[in-house]
Amino acid sequence: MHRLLLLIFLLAAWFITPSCDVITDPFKENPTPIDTSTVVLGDTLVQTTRAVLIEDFTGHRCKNCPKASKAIRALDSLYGPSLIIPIALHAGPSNFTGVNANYPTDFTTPEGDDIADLFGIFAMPMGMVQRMDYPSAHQKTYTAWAGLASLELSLSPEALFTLSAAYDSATRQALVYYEAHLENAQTSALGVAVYLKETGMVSPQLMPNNTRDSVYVHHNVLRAAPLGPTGIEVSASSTAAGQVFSGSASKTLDPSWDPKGCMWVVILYDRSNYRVLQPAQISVW
Amino acid sequence: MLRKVYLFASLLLASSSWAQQSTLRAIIQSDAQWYLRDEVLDPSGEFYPDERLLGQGFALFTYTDGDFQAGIRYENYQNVMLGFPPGYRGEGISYRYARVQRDRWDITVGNFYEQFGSGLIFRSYEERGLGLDNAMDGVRIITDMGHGLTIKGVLGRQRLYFGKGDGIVRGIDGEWRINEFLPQLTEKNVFATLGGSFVSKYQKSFDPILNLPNNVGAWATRANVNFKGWSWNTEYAYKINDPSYDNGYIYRPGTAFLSTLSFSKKGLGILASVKRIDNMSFRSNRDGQQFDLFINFLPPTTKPHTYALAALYPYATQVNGEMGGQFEMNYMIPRGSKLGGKYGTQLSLNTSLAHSIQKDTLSDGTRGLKGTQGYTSQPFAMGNIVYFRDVNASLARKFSKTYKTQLTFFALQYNKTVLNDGVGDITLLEAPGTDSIIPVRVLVWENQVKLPKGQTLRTEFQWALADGFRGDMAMGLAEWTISSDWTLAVQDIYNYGHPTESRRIHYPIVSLIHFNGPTRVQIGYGRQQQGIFCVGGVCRVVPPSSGLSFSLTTRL
Repeated sequence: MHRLLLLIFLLAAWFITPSCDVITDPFKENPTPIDTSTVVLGDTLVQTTRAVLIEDFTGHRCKNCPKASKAIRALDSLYGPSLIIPIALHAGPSNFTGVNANYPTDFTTPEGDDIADLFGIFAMPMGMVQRMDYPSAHQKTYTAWAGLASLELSLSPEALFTLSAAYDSATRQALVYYEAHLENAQTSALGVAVYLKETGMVSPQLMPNNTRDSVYVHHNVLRAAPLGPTGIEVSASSTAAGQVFSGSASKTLDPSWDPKGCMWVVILYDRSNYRVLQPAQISVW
Repeated sequence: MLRKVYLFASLLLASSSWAQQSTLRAIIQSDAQWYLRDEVLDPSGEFYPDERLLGQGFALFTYTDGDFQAGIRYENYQNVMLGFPPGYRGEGISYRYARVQRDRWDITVGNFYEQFGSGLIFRSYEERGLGLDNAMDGVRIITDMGHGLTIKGVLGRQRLYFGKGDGIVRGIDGEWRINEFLPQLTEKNVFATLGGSFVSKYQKSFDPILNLPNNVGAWATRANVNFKGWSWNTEYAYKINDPSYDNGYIYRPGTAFLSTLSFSKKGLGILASVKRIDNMSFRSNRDGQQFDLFINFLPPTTKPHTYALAALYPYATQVNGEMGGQFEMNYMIPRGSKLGGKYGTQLSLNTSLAHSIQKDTLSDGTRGLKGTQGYTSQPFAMGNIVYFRDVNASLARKFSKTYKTQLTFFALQYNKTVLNDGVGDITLLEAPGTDSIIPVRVLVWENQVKLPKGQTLRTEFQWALADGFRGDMAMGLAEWTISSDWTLAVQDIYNYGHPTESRRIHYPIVSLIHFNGPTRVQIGYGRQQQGIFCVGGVCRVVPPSSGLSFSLTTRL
């Protein structure tokens, strides 16, 4: 018996002892945002009101997910694209997002998977509104999105963005330049994350009646997060109202992506609980 | 959630009706404060809560049936009282567990508290006065393997208010009581244990710039030897690169060393301890702040003071680097001797210091920069920044069956910049001499008189002289134990020497305490001054407040 116990604990020790990642090269390659000072920027967006980020975890083999997508389109019709900022993340359980012969398009991204991991997404359709109530109650079903969005939009803005975008069709490089103007003082560290999404792809989707819609149009699909899934820290401590955070991000578009269907989404958020203070979106081209 | 609670309660009740010898115990505590707007204490109303009345409490139920135990704790914050972490909001079941202790096995599922050694790499604990609770939620297995060897294994995630942190914590600890293997040591009055532990955390990283370690491991070894009146405890811990908010995301490994030697015999007790900490903040969330998700605990080597004016200058362990030690001696001058008097006289001397550690620049001339090794430091090199120094001595004597008195003197050096303002040593090293060290002298005279009919009167007179910061203060306290059920206490602190004239105010408090069996009720009214409240070297800021407070504690 003692030998068995000893064996069990030696195995346990063997299992956890390698649990150490010794880092010899702390910095990732090309960590610095590119210099956009010489780039002629195209579209510019200047925000004046609070906006709401709705993240919809979805999958093309999830039969109830079109209902969530429909809920977002309803909100978009009601409030317009300057107030409702949706992103559809094909991430989460692989039985909903995986590829097979009937659903051949892979909409997943490593960054989307990381975000789903971070927020513990285990079922879909599932969403987050401004990433509020993390870590205990941040996962919101689509039936709750309208009420929460309305509540959020009734509040004063905590920050306002000015975004400028540019696109070089020769190199397919898209750029976004952001300035976040803090309206209220904040006590926690703040971060900025930048996402690229695409709308208008036609690809099969499992529908609520269990049929396969082969010409389903997918909206707001997350394509990339050039600053990483949770972006970068812009302030490590308390920040006074009036502070401006500026920066940029770029992405070379995949040949299969339509630049006219792509949009940048930029968010400013509280690093202590991921709550989004303000999102904004602007067309790539 | 309600369904789970109902199911749990049903199981408890059902099992209690089947089993004999089962017990169900409860501890209930409720605290509330009605805050009053005090324009002298808080002129701008910055600290005056919108709610006016804040209350919080908990109820812990523990069911025991033979070798089975289960428990559940309900907590309620409507809203959390001033000074406690605002993350506690609302109500819910924060702690539930089931435990079986059978044969050589002790298995817990659900929430549990645990500690490896002195806690340098793992301590899961609750300190309700601070609002600190990093309870594990997972599995703990303890087994006695015979020959004095005990093994513990833990796996789970840590409590974060009413949720849990993302990071997974796993650890294993072994402790060997050598006497059970070598009984001849017992014959020689030597008792020894050896221990070792390993803890690892997993937290996925998403940083676009830094390659952050997802898995961070730490190990520690320890020894304890007792021989007659002597006792020696020592522990060394090492942690691999763990860039975090606390250390400014540097990649330097962390180390900690703690050693304590003590001796005691009738009438004499001596304790000496030394400690060195280098970059040993260890949390299951690398971006955690305040008390959130600490995996380890770094014990203080300074004496926590209980007298009010001395306690206004507490020491908080500096997790990023600290070196210091403590020496304490207690001696009882024998009763009947010329100096000792009829009942003996107790002398105590305690001295401690805490300095920064040496932190030299790296070969590229930088120090403390994100993404680097941070700094270099020789293992035994003490830094120039004084965090805290303390010399205190007391003399206690009982003159008769009805009267005893104690005189205590404190001489402190308190680095306000570090301990009150939270400025780090790296910042101070880049701007030497910008810290403010406050010399403080405190004198306390305490008296206790037994009165007829079982009554007692205890008084304290305290006087603190401080050069700057809070300035000079005087305090008087009278605590009248009217009967075994009732106690009335009145105290006032007068901050007559505050550097700002408008702050030279009184802080009076009146308290009435009632005991009824296991129930204790306290009602207080008065002013609480702004300060820092610490337990075990861990501190929280207490905002100024004024009002009526209520506290109830009971056991069922």
